[in-house]
Amino acid sequence: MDDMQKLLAVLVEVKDDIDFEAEKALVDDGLIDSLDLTQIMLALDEAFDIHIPAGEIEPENFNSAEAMLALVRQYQKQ
Amino acid sequence: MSILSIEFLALVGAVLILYYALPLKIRWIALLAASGVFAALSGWQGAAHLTAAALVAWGGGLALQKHRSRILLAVCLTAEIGAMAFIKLYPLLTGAMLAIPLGLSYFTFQLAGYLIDVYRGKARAASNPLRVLLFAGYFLQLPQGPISTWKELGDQLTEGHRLEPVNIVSGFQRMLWGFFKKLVIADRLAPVTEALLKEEAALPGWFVLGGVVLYAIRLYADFSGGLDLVRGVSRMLGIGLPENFRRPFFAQSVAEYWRRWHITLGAWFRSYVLYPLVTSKAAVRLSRLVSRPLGKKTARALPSALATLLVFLLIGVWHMMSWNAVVFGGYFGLVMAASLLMEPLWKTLQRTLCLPKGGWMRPLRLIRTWILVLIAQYFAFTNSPSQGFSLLRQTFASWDFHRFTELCTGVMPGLEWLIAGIALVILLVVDLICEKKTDLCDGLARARIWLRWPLLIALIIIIAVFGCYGEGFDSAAFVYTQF
Amino acid sequence: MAEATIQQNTGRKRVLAAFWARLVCFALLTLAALWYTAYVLIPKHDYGVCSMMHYYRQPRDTVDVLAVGTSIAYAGINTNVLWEEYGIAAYDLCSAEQPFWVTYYTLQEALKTQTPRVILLDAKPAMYTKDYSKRGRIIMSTFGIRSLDNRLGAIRACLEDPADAMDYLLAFPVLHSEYKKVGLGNFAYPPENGGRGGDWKGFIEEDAVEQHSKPSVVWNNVRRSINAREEEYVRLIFSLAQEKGIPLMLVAMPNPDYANDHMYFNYLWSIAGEYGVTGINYNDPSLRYGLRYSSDFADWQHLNVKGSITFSRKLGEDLKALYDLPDRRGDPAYESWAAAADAWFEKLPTFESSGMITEEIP
Repeated sequence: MDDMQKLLAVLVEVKDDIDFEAEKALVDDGLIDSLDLTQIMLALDEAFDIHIPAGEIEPENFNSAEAMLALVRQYQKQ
Repeated sequence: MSILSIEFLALVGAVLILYYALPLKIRWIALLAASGVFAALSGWQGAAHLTAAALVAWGGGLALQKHRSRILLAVCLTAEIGAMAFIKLYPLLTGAMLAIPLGLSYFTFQLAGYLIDVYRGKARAASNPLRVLLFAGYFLQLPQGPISTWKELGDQLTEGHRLEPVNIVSGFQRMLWGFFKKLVIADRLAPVTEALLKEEAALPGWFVLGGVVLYAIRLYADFSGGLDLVRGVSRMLGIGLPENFRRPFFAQSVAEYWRRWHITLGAWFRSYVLYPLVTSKAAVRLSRLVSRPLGKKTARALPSALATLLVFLLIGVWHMMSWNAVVFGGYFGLVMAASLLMEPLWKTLQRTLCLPKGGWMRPLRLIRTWILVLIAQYFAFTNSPSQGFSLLRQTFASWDFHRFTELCTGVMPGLEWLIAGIALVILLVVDLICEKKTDLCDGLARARIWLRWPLLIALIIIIAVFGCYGEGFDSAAFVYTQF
Repeated sequence: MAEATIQQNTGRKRVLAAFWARLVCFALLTLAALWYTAYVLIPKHDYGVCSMMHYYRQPRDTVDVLAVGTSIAYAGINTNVLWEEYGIAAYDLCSAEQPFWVTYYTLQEALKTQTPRVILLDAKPAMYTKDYSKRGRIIMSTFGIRSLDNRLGAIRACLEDPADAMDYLLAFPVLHSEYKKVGLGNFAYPPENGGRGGDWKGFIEEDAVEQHSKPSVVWNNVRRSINAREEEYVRLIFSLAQEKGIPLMLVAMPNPDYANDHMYFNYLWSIAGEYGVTGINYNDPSLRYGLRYSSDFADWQHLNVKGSITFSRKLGEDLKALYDLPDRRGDPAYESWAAAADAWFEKLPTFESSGMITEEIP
């Protein structure tokens, strides 16, 4: 859960008016837009010391905190 | 071949009949044949370029599937986009005209997207070159897009679709709506723009402002009308093309505007230019560099802001090869970048002043967006930045109304203004309904006959009588076809 | 399992059949609506469409004298006078500036429903020089024709570029901008003909008075070739009349501008001679029938009301002498002619150019 809390902290830093724990359709419902995504990407890269390629920026990967965590984990292994 | 011509309608009719007559598995041959005919009739040079580009993409795709090589991707992309850039820049460099292939920008972008998707592992390369050829040359998207991804369109094109009445009815309705927007509204408003460009010395400010507003509306009606036409026909074939316009004038911010205007262009630039730029090593390094002096939040926003600025400059240049493009694109880029960088500031302001998110803030946000978008329009239809700035200046000059009737009837007679006005009201009402109830077309397709038929027949008659076509009308070609 | 699929298939077949049925109904309704819309848009002022549309309303084989030609004919050949004085049932099937090619197809169409005893052919097109017709004229002279073959024939003959024929056939491309001029009267049937009523026989009075003087013409036999296309089609007209066995009479209406016309008319008469067709040139100065150039013309071409009365009296006299035209007065089948004439003569005093209004000089 440490990673998840770290993730949530990072997300709140980018956008503090969204309940990242509860929302499951962040991109689909338009709660975060493309520019928010770019900032989240940079924040994740920095916080977890990973490099997520542009091809992974898809609604499925960013619709919920869980999805983002899975993505981070995927690239942490590399 | 213009998509407003009888020939095109005949082609559509022929395709529809052929498509549903063929056995399910080979129905896509009808699409390929129609696309071939359409491309050939629009210029053999264009058809040749299209075929060559598709073959390069097909070969490149298969090769990239085997070896995920960045160099190979770079070579293929350079070939595709380089060819497009060459053709577009040629007149500027040599002064001579080259026949621009129909749909050059659209199919080039689609093929580039295909190659990148294969490289990223998001799409399977097609083994049949005809599939790639159809994807690039699908006749309904050549004139003005939309720009589809392989994931959206690739399979839809080749899988045969069964005849579903709701597709035919819904598609036909959308097609009619497109005709209405284009022929009754957009073409009727064309003289307004021409009046502005005539460089009459002392045009009163209200006339210029009104003219620019009507230009924006005209462009919307023209472009979205053409796309509705094309999407409607495609729907009749059972193929769904992505939406390109979602009532852009209901946007509450410039960012939202660009998510509602020319949606597929924005999406393409986002996926294939913005995100790669922002996730590049250079961006990360930049972010780290400015982290200490400017703060974490700004450090994260800065690469995005810069990338956005670049993207909009490119979008501007995509629209027109002129200095106006720089002003147009640069303006939007700066507005977006500024709003991004100032977001934290704005949030604090909102909190301290206790400004509500909804309520009366919504119309204010709408108006703010309209003003920002309107300023850009001054550089969309004028021939040079100086003309744009001059018109902008004139807007704030004299607001003398004493020549009101003379100027208005000089553009077009009172009856035409009345018709345009009524048509715009109809457009507004329909758009308002669609904003609340996402798809009016499908809803109408399932409605009772006694409601649907009179509406449709009335619409057909309105288009037939009040459309600007035929003798005595300068059928203003689609604005977005020369891209 | 198999049963379910068969049920599905028949269910789907039924759905599709219902769909096709609805589609056909919708298409028919739409076509009907569009057809009526086109009817509303057609300009129905006097210059041609109306006389064709009203022509179809005449009872079969009642028209004895069919006049075809230009506005000069429809202004001068007064059907009401011909009826009132001689009991001749005449119809003016003319349109403004109608060239011989339109007349040819109009005649073909007209002879489908009537067998006149004589056809009066207005000679005026002999002096037309244009090879093709203007858009406005094409609409006004061809849009009343019902049969596709004759309508298409007339349209194509008018056009320089036959590819344009599609625009006229579909009507809307050339017609829809007429919405600017549509009035309430456009919606009614029978077509609004300037308030002349349903019994109208194609005569359109030109109610104005313009002073002219008798033209000085050298009455010789010098000929001048007429426009090649006009010649081509007038020959077809002569052949058609010959083929149908209907006597055709050339009529050169009187007009103050005649001096320019004479040589062309001589040429036309010589062509007519090849087909055994004759005619009367009412510009012949030796003919005296009471025509006054100072008061009988509305402009430099058209007879006015008084002029049409004078002229038609003479024309009727000549027709009675030359052809076997029964007196139809009293015949119940010809009721509409009587009604038309009665109504027109009642209106006569109201016309400025009737020759009846005398101004009191103070």
